[in-house]
Amino acid sequence: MKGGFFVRLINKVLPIGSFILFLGFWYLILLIKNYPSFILPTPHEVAIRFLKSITSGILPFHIFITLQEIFLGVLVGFSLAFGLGYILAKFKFLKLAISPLIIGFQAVPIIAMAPLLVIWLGPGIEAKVFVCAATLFFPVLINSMVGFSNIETNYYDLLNSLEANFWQKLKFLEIPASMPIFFAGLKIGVTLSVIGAVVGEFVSSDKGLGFLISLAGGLYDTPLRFVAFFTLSLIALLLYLGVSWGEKKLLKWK
Amino acid sequence: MKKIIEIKNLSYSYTDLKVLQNLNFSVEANEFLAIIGPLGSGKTTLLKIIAGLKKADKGNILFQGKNLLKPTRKIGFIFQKNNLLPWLTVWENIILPLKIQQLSIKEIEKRGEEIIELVDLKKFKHMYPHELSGGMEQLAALTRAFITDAELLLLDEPFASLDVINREKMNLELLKLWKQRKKTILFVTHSIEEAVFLADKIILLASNKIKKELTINFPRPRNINISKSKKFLNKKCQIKNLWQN
Repeated sequence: MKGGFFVRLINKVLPIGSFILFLGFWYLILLIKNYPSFILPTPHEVAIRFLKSITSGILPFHIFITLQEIFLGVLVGFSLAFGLGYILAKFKFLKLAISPLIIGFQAVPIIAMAPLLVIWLGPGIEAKVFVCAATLFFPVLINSMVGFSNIETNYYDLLNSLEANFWQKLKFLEIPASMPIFFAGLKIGVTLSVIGAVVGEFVSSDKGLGFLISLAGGLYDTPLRFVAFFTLSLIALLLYLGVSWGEKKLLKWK
Repeated sequence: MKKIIEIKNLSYSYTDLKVLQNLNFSVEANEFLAIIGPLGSGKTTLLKIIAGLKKADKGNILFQGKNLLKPTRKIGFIFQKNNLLPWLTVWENIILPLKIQQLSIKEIEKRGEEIIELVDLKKFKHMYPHELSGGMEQLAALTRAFITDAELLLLDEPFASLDVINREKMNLELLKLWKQRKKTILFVTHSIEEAVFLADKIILLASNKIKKELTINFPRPRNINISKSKKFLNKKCQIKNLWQN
């Protein structure tokens, strides 16, 4: 019991410890290099800017815009990637036909495509959602394709011998068997989607955390840039933890 | 007795490798038939063909007098690996065939409770397969097969991975279920002792053919003590000699 308590304590203390170490390292660089605030602000300057932008309502507004794009991007990108992953795993000829196209598209940097997407889809939320969805699409697609292909044939034999129909196989076998991959993909997806949303906002936007970064850059308000960086990291972390929590709750059988 | 299944001139090969050649045999209703043979003699392949999971190159399978062309619920299969779905609890795994059959919840509950009581799995009902011992997992898989309306059950070395004690226990559980549920069983094993203990009839497969059909006429119900009798040991020796020659 004692060992268990200490292990739990260490598990809790370790991430906090590494954060304190990171702050210490930051202060150390400032001590050695003596950078002005517009090049590298101190952690407490960033903290003060963070509180100010919260109380003024600027940060919550931009967070809300970016979160909106992230959720829509994850929804669209993940559904398409997961669905296509299933179809490609089921139909080998389609996989053969589409695989080169997928690999080819994967090599195109989305940041280079983003300005064109804004022209094609307009300056509204659509382009940002598309960039966000495209960022997570390929890793999730590959992940789900491999996962669906690896369902043991023994289980199919069992369901075939019970005369299960297509929907029953999906319900009793394929969906539950794919849940671990679903969550693994979702974990990758939600973190990548944060990057995707910001890339979209960088190119053309007048709101969102990506826009806030650009704005702060133009005003030489580096503490505000750092506020946006940390907020993005926090969003990614919270989304990741949320998915992990859901995974733990839903996959009790693992 | 009425024949439930007839195998006629059945052959199967993997590209150039002949696995089964011209097999002919039949199984009567409520009979317990064991198929034994060395590794690679085509026992599992034969079961998969009978289950409709593989197609024979040649020959016919008549199930209740009709040509068998695809898997049917009337033929149940218990695999070497228990195939319990890891995301379902013991209870959910056991009632799975009834859910697939789309029976009413009331009927599912009734049949499920009845059989789980019979095999004494009630206290493991809400556990997941990974929380069970190997023996319990196999018992759950066995129960799942017996809950169905299948008239013929194909068992592919279901207890091969168990230790001797658990294997004996499972054999007794199997006989209990078989007696209570009145099914026909086709049991594949490489254990001569297991086959003699369980079966009414044994088919010895060797070199892709049926080498011998033997009748086992020990009285039923059988208990573990019969395996110590002289008659039992003689039968075992007879089959062993046939196998080795």
